[in-house]
Amino acid sequence: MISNNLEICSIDIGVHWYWNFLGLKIHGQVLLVSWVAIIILLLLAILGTFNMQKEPRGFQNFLEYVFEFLQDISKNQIEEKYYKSWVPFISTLFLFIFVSNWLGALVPWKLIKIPEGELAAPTNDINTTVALAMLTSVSYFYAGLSKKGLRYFLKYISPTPILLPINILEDFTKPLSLSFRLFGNIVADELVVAVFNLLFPLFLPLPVMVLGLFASSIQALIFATLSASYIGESLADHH
Amino acid sequence: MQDILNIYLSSEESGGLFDFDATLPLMASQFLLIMLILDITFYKPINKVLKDRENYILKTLESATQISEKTKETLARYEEVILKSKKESQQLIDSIKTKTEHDIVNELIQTQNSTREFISKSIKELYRKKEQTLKVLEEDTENLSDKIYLKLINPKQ
Repeated sequence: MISNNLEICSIDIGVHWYWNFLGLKIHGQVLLVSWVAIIILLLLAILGTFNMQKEPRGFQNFLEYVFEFLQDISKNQIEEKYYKSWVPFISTLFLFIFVSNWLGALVPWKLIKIPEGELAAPTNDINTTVALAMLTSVSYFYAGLSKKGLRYFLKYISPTPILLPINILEDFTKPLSLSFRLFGNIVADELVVAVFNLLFPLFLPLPVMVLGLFASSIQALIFATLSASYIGESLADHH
Repeated sequence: MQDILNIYLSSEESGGLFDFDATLPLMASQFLLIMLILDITFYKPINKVLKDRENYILKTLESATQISEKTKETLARYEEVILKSKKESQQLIDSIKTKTEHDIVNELIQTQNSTREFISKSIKELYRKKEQTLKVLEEDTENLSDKIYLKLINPKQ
């Protein structure tokens, strides 16, 4: 009984179920849950849009609400003229991170046994968060370069060339902070829940789980908002 | 009993918390893929529906405004027509009234005149008759007096 309990409570961090893909190592448990998240997103999109009406009903209504919320994230950070083309990226960031986090928090993955490691939110793997953060970096570079051309690099010596090292450093700290914030929050939440489960596996973890649910949605919002803000910064005119 | 908390920060062979491998580019590419798919199946259609609805509402609002303006116009026109016809009917009534009054006064005057004429005529007639009678009477009196005189001077006759 106790050993069974402990088995349920135990947590493996840093243990991966390796797959071989064209001779490259990949983390199977991360990809599996990310596929679940993707399928959920696709189902939602298909359910909400297959029978669209002028008067929204059911899933269409829900999707319209979600879309307006997502659009507002981009609208608030990026100039009116440019935000439209960035809505898909920012929105998908939010949706993917949000669904991943909640999948990790709500689904008892522990009940599904895999050969190595354990199923969890894809965002508790550093590869996922760094991938998303790097996409954000590429995006804001692309946004700045496509709008201003080479003049984009003038931002490194503005307002004064003295700030050049700091400005260059910023390009590294941005993705670093983005990825580690998300990664750290999700891992820490799972750790805390696991430790509380260990101490008293009945009601004690519940508040922390609720907090984790809240924190993971906030993390999704923060990631999307910061990405939008970086892109908006690149698109803004310097004076 | 197994270890409860297995945290591998990094290990010699493989694994660990910060184990970067092909998952990273794979995750990035599948994220881009899902972004494209969601753009086609979710963002674009929903955005279109929202925009269509906004246009529809704007159009309906505009037509409603037009209709209400038209109604106002028609109302004003009808009011004008009603006012005009009221005025006309009032004028008609007034003219008939004055005409009738005029007629009555005329008739009255005529009647008065004719009455006066008749009276004066009658008076004249009366005077004439009186004079005539007086004349006749005088003649008669003269005749009679002549006869009386003749009788007096020639009683035998």
